[in-house]
Amino acid sequence: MTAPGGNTKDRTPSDLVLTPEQERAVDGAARWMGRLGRFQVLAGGLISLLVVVGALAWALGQTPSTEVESSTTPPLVRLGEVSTETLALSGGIVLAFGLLLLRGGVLLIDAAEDLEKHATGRFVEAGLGHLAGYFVTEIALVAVAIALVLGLGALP
Amino acid sequence: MSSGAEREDQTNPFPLEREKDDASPFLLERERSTQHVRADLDVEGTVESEGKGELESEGEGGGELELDPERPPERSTIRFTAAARGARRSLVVALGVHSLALLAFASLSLVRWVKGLASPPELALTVLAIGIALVHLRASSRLSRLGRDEKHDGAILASSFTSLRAVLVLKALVLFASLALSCFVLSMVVSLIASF
Repeated sequence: MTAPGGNTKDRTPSDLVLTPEQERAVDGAARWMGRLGRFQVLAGGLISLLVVVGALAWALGQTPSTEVESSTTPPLVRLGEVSTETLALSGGIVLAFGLLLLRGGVLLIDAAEDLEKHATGRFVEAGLGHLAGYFVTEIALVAVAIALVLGLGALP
Repeated sequence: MSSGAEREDQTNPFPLEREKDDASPFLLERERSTQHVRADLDVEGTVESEGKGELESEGEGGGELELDPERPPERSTIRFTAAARGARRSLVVALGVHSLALLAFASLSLVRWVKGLASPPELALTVLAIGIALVHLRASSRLSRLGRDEKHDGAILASSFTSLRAVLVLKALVLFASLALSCFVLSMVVSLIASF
């Protein structure tokens, strides 16, 4: 409790006192966390679903390759020649990206729900924990991006 | 004092200093409201200094909203427990590492740009990554000061969340734009394949 005159000596050290403006700032951030989280869940789910459906379609449409004799030896142009390993690697990276996006979105929604103003107060410790988890998944996402940039030949 | 006034003194824990003779209907109504507000303040345990300030200003000016007994308290309190301090610490670390990862990504992209390999969208993404990393570092440094200066804890928390909100808005826009671009490219590829 704050003593008369605004003295903070008597206040419990584990209390944060927020003015209405500061409360609005926290509420606004929580609202945007919820929005971005839902959007990330949508995007991550869509990407993961596309990869899974694409992989299934590719596996079902796989037929024994028939060699077509070329008139020139070796053939001048080869169209659509992608190895299975490259395709699997690309699919795996995109799937990991989608799942991380999905997980980050879920954590962000949890953080938003914890930090929004309820009748019982704010669950600030749970909100900060979920927010920390979200940024950890973001680190993993950036690591995937760095791996892609390295794969594209950033270094000599 | 009359018997009625004595009864009022026994039941009213907050005797008013105003003269009892001045008993116009408006003043009686205001007196009842003031007593109600004082009783609420006492029951809810709100800060005494705030209650006094409100009542004094009410007595001088008399705003109708200030007499509303159901008005919520102006300031709210958040319990900042030891668990919250631990969560705050992990958030600060996560924000710092995330900023460093973003800066590493940006430097690699800049190397690609110097070598002439980076495309304009990649360069825009690099600039965005640098901006987000700087804002995250600022929020991280502010959050790390939380709990040290009790007078400014609320302001520190609010400014940290304001910075984070700016980044979240930016990320939402970028995600939306990249998703729209991906859908556009995908539809182009599909139409190209279908035309063969």
